[in-house]
Amino acid sequence: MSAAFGQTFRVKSGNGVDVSRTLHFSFDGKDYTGHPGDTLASALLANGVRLFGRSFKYHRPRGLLSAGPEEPNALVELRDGARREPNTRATVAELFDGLIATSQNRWPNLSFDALGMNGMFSSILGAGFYYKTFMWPASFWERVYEPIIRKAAGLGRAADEGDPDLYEKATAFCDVLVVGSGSSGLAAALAAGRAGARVILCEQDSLVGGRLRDEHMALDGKLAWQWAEQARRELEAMPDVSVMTRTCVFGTYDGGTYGAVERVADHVAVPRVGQPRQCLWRIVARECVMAAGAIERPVVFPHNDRPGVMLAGAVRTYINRFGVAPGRRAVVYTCNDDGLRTALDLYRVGVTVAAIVDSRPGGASIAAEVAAKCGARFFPSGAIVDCYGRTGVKAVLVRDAAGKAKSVSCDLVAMSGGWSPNVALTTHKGARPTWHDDLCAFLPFTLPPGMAAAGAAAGVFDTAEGLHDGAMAGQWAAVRCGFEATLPALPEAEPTSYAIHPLFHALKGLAASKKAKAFVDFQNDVTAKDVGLAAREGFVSVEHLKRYTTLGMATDQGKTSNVNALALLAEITERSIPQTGTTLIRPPTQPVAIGALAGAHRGRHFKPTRLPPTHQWAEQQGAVFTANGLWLRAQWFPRAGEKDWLETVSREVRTVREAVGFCDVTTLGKIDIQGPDAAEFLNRVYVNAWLKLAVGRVRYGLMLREDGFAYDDGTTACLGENHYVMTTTTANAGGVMAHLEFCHQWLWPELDVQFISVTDEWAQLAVAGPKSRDVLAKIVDAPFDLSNEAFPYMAAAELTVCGGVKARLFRLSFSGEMAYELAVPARYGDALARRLMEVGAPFGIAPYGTEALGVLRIEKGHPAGPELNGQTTAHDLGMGRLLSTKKDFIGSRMARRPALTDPQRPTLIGIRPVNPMDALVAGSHFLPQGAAPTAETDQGWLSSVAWSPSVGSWIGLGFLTDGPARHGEIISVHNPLAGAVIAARVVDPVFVDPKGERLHG
Amino acid sequence: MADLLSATLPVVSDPVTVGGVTLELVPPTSIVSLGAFAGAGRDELVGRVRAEFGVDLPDVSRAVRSSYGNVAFLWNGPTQWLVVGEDSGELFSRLQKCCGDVCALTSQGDSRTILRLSGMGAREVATRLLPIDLHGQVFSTDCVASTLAGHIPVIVWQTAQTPAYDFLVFRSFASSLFHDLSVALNGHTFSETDHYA
Repeated sequence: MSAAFGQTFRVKSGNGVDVSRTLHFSFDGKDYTGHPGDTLASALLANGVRLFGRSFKYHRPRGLLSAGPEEPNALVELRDGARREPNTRATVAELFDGLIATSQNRWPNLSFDALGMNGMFSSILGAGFYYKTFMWPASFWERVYEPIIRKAAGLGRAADEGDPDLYEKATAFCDVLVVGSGSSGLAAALAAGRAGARVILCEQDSLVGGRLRDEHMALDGKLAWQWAEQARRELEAMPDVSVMTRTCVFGTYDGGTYGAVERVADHVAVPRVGQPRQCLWRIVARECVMAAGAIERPVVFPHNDRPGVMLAGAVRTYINRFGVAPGRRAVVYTCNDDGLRTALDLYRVGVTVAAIVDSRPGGASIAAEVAAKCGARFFPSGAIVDCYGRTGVKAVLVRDAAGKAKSVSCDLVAMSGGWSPNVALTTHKGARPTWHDDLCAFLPFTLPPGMAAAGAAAGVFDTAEGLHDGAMAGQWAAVRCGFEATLPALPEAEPTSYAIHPLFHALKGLAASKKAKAFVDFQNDVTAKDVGLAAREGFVSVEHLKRYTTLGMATDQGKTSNVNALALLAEITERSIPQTGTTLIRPPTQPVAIGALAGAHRGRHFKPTRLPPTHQWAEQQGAVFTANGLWLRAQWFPRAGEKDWLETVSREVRTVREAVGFCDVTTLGKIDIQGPDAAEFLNRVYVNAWLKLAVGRVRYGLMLREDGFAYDDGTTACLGENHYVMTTTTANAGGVMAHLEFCHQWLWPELDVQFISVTDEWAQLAVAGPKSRDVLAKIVDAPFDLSNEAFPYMAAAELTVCGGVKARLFRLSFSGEMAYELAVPARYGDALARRLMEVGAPFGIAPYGTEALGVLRIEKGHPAGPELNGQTTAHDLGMGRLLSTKKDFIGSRMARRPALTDPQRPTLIGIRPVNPMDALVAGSHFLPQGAAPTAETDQGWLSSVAWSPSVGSWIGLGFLTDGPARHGEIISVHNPLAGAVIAARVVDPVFVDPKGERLHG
Repeated sequence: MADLLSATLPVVSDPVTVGGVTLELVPPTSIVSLGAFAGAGRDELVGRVRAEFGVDLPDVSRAVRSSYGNVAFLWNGPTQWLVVGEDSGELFSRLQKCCGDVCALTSQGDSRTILRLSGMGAREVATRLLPIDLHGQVFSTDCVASTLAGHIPVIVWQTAQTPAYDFLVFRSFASSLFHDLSVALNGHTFSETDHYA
């Protein structure tokens, strides 16, 4: 088909299409043209394309069912390369120049599909087929069955590359959120907006108007869509009103919060540089008018899935909005007056209406009159009992009131089983809708707080009534927000009738084989027969029916199928629809891209990175970095000629032990604590005594959780009367701050104490090694005395360094060497590192990273993260004696539970392999030598390991049953992952300077 | 060793301007936290600050600016304020003289970095990261909020009607927040539905 003559089904200019401009696109490699305003569906339909895809399970040829987001059939792969999107509904994909789409789930091509033969086996591929067939042997499921089934029953292919587009998230607030911009939504927004309320109107479509665009209808004597555009312009001119098109409200959440996704650049080939593809909105609204309209139901009859069988309302949408006739010769099948409008619209644009099949008795409606006007054969009390044409409808078999069947040739069937209000947003918080016999529909019953439903979504199908209903809802929403609101003047609409008579299927008296081809759920290929089979096998609960047949579980979530399925199940089980019940609808109402949920937080920006003050300097040193929670820390500082990290780390360790090294320890949590009751407060959160700590002194402290297990440790310095600075581990910095706040605000509000984090205020560098004092002597300002007598181990002072920079100095050691921690305001941290390098050069100074820090502390037997893992007690850590018996503290009672004081508990020990070169692996289990590796013989675990250059051996820390009594014993260190067993000696956990002489040096 | 150490800025990026909205690092300022002790000390503190700075410490989430001297007091939770002034180093000692005996004073000027987002459209950019209502009826000049910008804890202070927002963020997070704000800045000029958020 050449493009110039392509759009042969474009019969007039639709109200939403700009025919003055032409767009080029391709589908399955073939070139077509369309116009701005078209969807991929309307453009293909204009070009006479009826076959859009293959069904999920039976690979049956499928065309368009609908013209909106409820589309179950016409799913395509949109775009290509990294932007390829599977399962895109052609009915919502806006046409752009250069669009490329491909049909999916077919091989080798759409019109001939090798797996179409699945359809021939449909008698055995019924409900539960896979569950029943592929059960044995169980091991085959993952390796054999599932891959085969997935290949056969696949939908589209996701892109193989990372998504190249940007996404963002945003939050919006309003008084009144209006969902849907049909007659009711526009009226609601006008009423609330004119009252002065902050209004957000969300429309999932690219244009406002809803069915005002889809129907041939007048408001105030003008075309209805023109009134919608006029309303939009008025709303957009209001300063506190926003009209958000292409924005689907997909979920109702707590506290008046709604989720919405805005398709910012889905309608263009490639977003502009910096432009987000989609934006995920969190909308917080005091009131919500839910006017999301209704979705038309298909009728279940044999072969109702042939391309060319469409919803009657969708046919009108294609005609009026897009100017496309979906066929040349149509049969209209309806159970209500609304469906008859389709016959009139088809007739008006020159499509032959071959027949009107009305399930209602002849006298009950205006059907005969409409049929006469359109020159159509009229079948009152009629039914369509079969449909012919493999890749497109050619004829239908109509059964008349007398039960006689007649074949009617046609290429289009427009069916209407009535309208189902779009109640999803009213049910997301758990409320179920209620069935109304008069409207044959579920209507919202209990609404979420702050929500009102209006218009078709509330079962008000008449346009004049819908306008009024929406205006009332908008007015009341504004009033509840405290605005004075009046009902806006509304345009006059022609009255319409609905007169629905229940019609869910046309299967009465048909053979079972026919029911096997009468589709209920088009997307998941669930037929009337499957529903019957499920019921016969006992799956009569609607929840079981859903899961057994997969009905309503496809990407369309059963928008067009759930009610028909319920009605069928109700009929089979001889219950009413309310007795049968309905499944719960959960968000999202439409598929939401993972990219939109992630927003800008992707790649390495999925979480923030915290940089210590010496980061820029460390980068210049060529440091290798490691993530420590959110922090990025220097792991080691390689030098030219070093062959691996171990050589570098061992050199850094030796430098500290033999000369002097320094390390940025800013990441440790630092909390400034002040107040008359500060000491008493510390006394209650730490296990040891704090009331007598002198000004200028530091003390080690251990905190327990309320359950008695060790929580965190660190040092706290007394800087002045009632003034302390606490340090925490890097990992628990935030948690300890929250813990202190909790203790103060809830447990002891009577204590007069204030805290604030100073972690980021001070750049803190550990300077460690026998030459550390010599280095510091070069930078502390006179007259500060660094001598052992004036500033001994565990001293603290405020001073100045480098000619007047205020600083804090603590004589602390994590390495076991003589060491200090020097803090300066964070802005000077980088310069301090450079200065230390300079003044320390004569002493052989070198920076060391977190890896050497770890080796040094393991050599010294200091517990850290792997030991403070939340499962260990003070006793396990060898610090049982620290627990004060003279005071109460957090966790003191629970720590005395028998299970926590059992001497048999694994307790901290050191481990040295008999062969020093045997590499230890953290996580290994301790077993008595020669014991079989079982849970019964397990006696503990290895928590930290390192190659110790100081000892010349691998060493480790771990927890061993009755450990302290077993120093000297040789045990097995079992690593079941590698199947390795190492003989190792239990030793004191302090490998270096066990007497602590160097600390005091 | 008489030569002082030189200061390093927490963010190395230059200011960014997109569509009339500018993101920049505010030069370091003096910030001191002021934590009121309990009981009668509280009234004493309020009185001393009034006498020295001519303002009443706010008890809602707002900033008040001093009548004398360029100092602002930001509410930072019950019984805590951040005092923001010029970076002369004198603020701490002035406060210590004024009220050091009746409250906890802690230097926070290095702890908190200030990133400023300003210009028409700054509100729309800010809504990409802040989950709070920034509409002029709700949040206006000198309103303050402790909240999250994306994943990063911040104190947001509207400093001008234009609008301008100062994000007080822990120094170590400043680079990440600058990045996140600049991504939001690059995206904002494209949205067609932003004029209200």
